Amino acid sequence: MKYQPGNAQHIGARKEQQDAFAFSDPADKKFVAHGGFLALVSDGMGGLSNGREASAAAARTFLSAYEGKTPEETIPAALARSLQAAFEVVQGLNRAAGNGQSGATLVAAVAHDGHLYWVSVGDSRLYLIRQGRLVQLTRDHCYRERLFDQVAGDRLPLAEALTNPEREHLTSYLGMVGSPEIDGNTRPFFLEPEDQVVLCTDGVYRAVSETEFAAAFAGGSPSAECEALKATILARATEQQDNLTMAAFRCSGAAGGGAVGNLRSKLTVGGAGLLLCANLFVADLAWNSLRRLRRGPEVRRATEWKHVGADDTTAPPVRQKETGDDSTARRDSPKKDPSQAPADEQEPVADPAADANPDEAVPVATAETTRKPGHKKAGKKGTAKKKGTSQDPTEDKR
Amino acid sequence: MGFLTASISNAGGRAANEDYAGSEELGSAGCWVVADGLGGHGGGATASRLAVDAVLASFRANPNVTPEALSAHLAAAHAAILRQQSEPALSQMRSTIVVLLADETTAVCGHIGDSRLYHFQAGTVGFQTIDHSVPGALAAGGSIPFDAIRFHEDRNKVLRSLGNDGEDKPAITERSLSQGDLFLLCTDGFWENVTELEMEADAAKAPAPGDWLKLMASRLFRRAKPDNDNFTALAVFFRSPTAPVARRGGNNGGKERRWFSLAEKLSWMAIAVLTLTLAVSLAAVLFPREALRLIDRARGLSPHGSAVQRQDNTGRQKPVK
Repeated sequence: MKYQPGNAQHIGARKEQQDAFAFSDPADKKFVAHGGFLALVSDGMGGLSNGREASAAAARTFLSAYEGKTPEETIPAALARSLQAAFEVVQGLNRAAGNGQSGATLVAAVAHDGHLYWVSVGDSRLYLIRQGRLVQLTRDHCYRERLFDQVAGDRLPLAEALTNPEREHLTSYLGMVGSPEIDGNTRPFFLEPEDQVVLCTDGVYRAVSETEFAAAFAGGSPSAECEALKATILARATEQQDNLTMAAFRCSGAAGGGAVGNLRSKLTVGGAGLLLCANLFVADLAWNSLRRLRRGPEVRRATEWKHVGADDTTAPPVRQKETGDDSTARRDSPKKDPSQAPADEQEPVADPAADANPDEAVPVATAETTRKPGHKKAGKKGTAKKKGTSQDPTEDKR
Repeated sequence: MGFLTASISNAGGRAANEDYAGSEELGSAGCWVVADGLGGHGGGATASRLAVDAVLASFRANPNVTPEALSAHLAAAHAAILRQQSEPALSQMRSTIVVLLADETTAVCGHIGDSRLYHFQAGTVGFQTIDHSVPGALAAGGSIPFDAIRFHEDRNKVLRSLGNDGEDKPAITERSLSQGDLFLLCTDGFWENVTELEMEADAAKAPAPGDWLKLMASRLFRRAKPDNDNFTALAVFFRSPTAPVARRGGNNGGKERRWFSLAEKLSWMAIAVLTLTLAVSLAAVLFPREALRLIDRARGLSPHGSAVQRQDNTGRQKPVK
């Protein structure tokens, strides 16, 4: 599976861009073989440039930690390790600043061999777009979701969860005190060809409906699609429009899952190909051996032509008639039996008597010989040409 | 025991919850039931409860994992509801039902109405029941895709249910089990608000069935209208260490495999045809004279052109002789 990346970013109505994003190198084949392709988005929080620093440091640290993945380490393990590194970096920034001023969300997705893995802390989101349908893969780390769990357990009415003033408060982010809650998959999620993966900050998904989101990713290159969604958002942006950042990639080619089944399919397809080659080879043999048997009459005809052409010029009507008959028979016949086996193509010239003397084979190309008289007389040119062309398909077949 | 079970049942935006779910495990076998009752004045709640209890009682008496056993459980539920309909207040009560029976190797599932069972294998929906409803029948006939049922205007027109006159007419399917398989049994209030792809995405994240249900319920809550229907879901994770691990597109032909299986099918067809032509060509190589004779005979019988050509041939032969 191949991955085509794209991204778009805008500062919105804010004074500073506090979002960051990163991709791993899709051209590093050695790394892609075990580490796949990584995309990540981080949304910084906090005043006085702290937010900007936090998201930039988180993105940088996460990417370099993930690029340190060895083939022995699993992708989920590498993602967890990278997230831990990013978490520690943001904590370090807070310590250096003296007070817990900054924080950042981070969502990272890795596509590898038709599988998708992700980790997320905070409320940036990972979406999958499959056949025009938008599906959110991550669950936001906000208070609303904790309330929803209580609703599910029948301990809280849904209306209260939906109206709670603290419902948008983050419950997990990089830089928080305590250990963050992590959203991620423990089992592989299977990608299909043409699936699109989109990572974005809340400045994107709060500004558009799911329908608009899906519509922007309906076709085109991922960067064009990201730009289209950005344009949709900016066209109606308010004074509160947050920073917006999206990183996307499209999957193409066959899914890599189910190695056993794929191998069987490949073997079957390969087998059919080999059989086709064997067929062509044997058909060629058959064609040649049958042709050798049929050589007799052709050779005779060739000599006849030579003889007549060199001998007398007073007999063209007869000859023309003869050649005319002959050529029509030859020209028409391949058209009549295209459905028959290739060995049948010589059939119209066939002579039952050929069976009796197959050893008369003489290596004279009939096409050349027949053309000769044509050069002498304009009246014969037509027939000669016809003969030439009628011969061609059989020559090609060989 | 190889099964982890969790369930969620919620009245949604309605005054009463007419859904009911229950499960029972006996030895290596288990039985899981979800029912969605209908019929006013408490009838719906009574019907679903009667149905679940009757199935579980029948399972305790006969804990075999066979289609026959499941058929008997459903018949018992049907009979229980019909018996209680003699009470005037409950005469209109009906219930949909979906049941899963499973042991270490096999699962048997059956349903009546539009409550559903999904069997997830290797992370994707390998099987889902077909609703006994107008759009369900349309989808089964290929008129609309299965995932369009949830938006169909007639999705509430249920064609079969427990408590209707006559036979209960269940749809029963037998499935083989693999390590890591998941089952989701749910009522229409649940599957109308959670898509199959979302079920798959959340299944990839959930370490246990309870987490899976919470993740899906969160999607439902965000989407739910204020008067949303009751919803009930029951999740079962199959975790037997002895069972084989399901491979992507293994016994079931998962979604990704479609492309490959098509290529494979075409290849097999090509192989069949090519083998035949190879045999014919080989015969022609080995027995060229016989082949020629056959060809000539075929030509002699062919309706057009043969007569002219034969004259031609004889005409040409003369001068040589």
